[in-house]
Amino acid sequence: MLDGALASLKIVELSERVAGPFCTKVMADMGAEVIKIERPGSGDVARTRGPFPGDDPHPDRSTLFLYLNTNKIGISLDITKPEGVALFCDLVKEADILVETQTPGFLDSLGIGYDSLHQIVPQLIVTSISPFGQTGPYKEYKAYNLNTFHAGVVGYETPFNYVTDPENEPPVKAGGQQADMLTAWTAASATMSAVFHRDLTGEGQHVDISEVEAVAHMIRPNTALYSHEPPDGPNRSRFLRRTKWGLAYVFPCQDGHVALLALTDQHWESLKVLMGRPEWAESELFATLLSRFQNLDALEVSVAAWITDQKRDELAREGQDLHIPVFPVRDMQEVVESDQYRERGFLVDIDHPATGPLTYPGAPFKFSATPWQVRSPAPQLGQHNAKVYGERLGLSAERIEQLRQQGVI
Amino acid sequence: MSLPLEGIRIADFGWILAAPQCTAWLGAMGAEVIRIESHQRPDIIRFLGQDPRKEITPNSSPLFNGLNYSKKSITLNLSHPRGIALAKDLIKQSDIVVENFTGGVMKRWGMGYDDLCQIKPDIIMVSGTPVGQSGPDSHCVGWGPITQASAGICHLTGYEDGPPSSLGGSWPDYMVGVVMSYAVQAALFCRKRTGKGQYIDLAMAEVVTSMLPEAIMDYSMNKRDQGRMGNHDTLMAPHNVYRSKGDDTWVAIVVESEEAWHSLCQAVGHPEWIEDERFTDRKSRKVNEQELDALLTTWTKERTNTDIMHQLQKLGVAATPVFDTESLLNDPQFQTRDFLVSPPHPVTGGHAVSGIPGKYSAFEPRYTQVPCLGQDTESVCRELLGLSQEEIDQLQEEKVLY
Repeated sequence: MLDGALASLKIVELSERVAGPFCTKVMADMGAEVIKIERPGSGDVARTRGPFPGDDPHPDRSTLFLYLNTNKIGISLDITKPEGVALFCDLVKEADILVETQTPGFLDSLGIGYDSLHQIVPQLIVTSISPFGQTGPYKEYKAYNLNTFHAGVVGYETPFNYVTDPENEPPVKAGGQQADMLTAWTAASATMSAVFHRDLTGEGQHVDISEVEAVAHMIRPNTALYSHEPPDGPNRSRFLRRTKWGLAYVFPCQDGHVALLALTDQHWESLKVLMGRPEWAESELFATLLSRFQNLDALEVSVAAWITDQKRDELAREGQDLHIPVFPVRDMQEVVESDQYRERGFLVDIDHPATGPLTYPGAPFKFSATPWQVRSPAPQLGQHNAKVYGERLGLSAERIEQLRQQGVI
Repeated sequence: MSLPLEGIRIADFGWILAAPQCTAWLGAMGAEVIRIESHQRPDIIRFLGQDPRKEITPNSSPLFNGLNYSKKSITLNLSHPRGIALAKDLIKQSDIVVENFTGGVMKRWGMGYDDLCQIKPDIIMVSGTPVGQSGPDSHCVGWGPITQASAGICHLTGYEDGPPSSLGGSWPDYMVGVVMSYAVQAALFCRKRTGKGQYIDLAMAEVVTSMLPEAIMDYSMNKRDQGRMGNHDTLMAPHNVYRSKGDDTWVAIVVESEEAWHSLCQAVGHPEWIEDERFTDRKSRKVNEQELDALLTTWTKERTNTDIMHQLQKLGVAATPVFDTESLLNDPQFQTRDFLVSPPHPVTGGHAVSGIPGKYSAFEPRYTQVPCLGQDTESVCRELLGLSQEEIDQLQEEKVLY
């Protein structure tokens, strides 16, 4: 078997929380070497976030942190101290990529912004992730996942096609930290593009990822409708507001909820069969793909009324047998215990000295030649200091101890 | 100017949203993306979102044209054996095959990964499906917004006392397209280093669940289902969207540190909240967050969300508007960074659409024309597949190139 797909890439991560660490995790899980730099003392804020086994907080047992930092080498370093800056530069000299999520301008103030690093290591790729990007009037503005999910319009549209009383039904964020997670994938893909460019030209570069833009990239249809139609255009006035107009996707049924959409001719014909060919379904309003699309609100009312009396799993099974896109809305127990995930080995047990084995989400995709793999669990704070500072950078044990006492590492 | 994926050719069988999102990225990065389409089974997105008062054509959809720049389009009838043979000829000269048909369709056409390895041993192939190529549900069909329900995210999204919800932005289709573009580039990087291609089996549901670690692990270790929390957070308060001045406008405010809390109290003119025992620390604010949210709303609703942002950000408080499409596109931050691009289009004339995210200091992603259905059929057949004009004419007449 080959090493991981990205086995020859060396990455330094100067980041915390979710977006930066998840970006380097998806690369580490594919074989890249990632040296994660944490602040001495408290480390990555994700260490305080949990959830914790038995709700017992401990910096080495926050499962958010444990998940986001598999396969990484962990060191502590205070880059605000001059000795820290020097060690940081030594680390970066050995790397292909730096992933950082500091407030734009902060690294410049320490003399290690992109321009300075580019002088020292011209082939280095620096991927900077920030809420609004490295330029523009809001570049220094602070934002968390809640902010960027909502600023990127996806939040405005959630819950999707549900709102009938806007005043009392505010926009809602998605479960988990989707803006941060999406930004991580965006940054990982952008970084890979920069790697190919470097391999062609020998040149490094600065990749500037804005979290709000990564989220706004998900509203492609809105952007296009906005430019293609005048303000009173029939689609623009429908799609660009958040009040309900049809296409809710999620419907209540007798014993839970299902998600269903039968829009194409084939899906619609099958749904008619499943519904027992009710008279209303033969209406001209629903005769073609385009007429169904134009009359989604009317279509939905009737479909929803039929679904109300159905049983969730029966409907999903019988619907799928007829090739209708329909799934049950699963809760956490059902997701974790899903036969599909079990058979594909999606959830994996990972052992960690501070927690023992815990069940984590595993490979988000299956590579045939270079499978996703866990080589090591998330590092404890400063776990690999001796290895990195001693073996890699050649510092003596005395010097390492001195740096530790000075609070540099 | 060099582009990252120059010289890479992609045979793109993808359709609808997720796979086209992947190849839009790769095309903008310089890859030659050849979409294999057909009049007999056109991408339905080519017809959706058009103004019903005008003539509907496969080339005038804002939804399609907002997603498919930097690609070529050929029409190849894959229900005809000769169509499949030509598709294979094209794959022989490609580096990457992208597809998101229902599991098993490519195999039935004799174009499964094993078949393709016979004709192009180092091919990289990515298949995107709802729940993967194996397992008891592998036959299942689903659009992104339907599939995600099986992955747990709808259960976790919505009001605290409301039903499970679907997400905006056709989530997770476009998101998975980005993930797919990363996976393909990782495999391509591996091939450059080792000479070996590979197969990527990408299950949309698994991508979605892999982005819910807290909820999954809380259940797997503590047997606790986190359920729906609206805009609230397990630890931080305030953490919500608040009504601001104007029609259906809102502002998102998050406070993590005590310092930010003190700044917020000063800014809203209630320094006494700092000493108020309901709000003295994060824990008490979390316990009393409904009261806190109501009090804050009395201040936010008198001000516009952008004024609130500027005022609070100056004090280090994370306050940002909830943008709708129009307010985002007209916002100075967004406009400064040229997020929109305008690839030309022979039918619609070209409109502003979303580019690929990220600013790249060493190159500009390339945004070339969105292809009309089949516009490159003849040139690709001639130049890549070596067909004569006579053969092309005949194949068109036989509805192979159709």
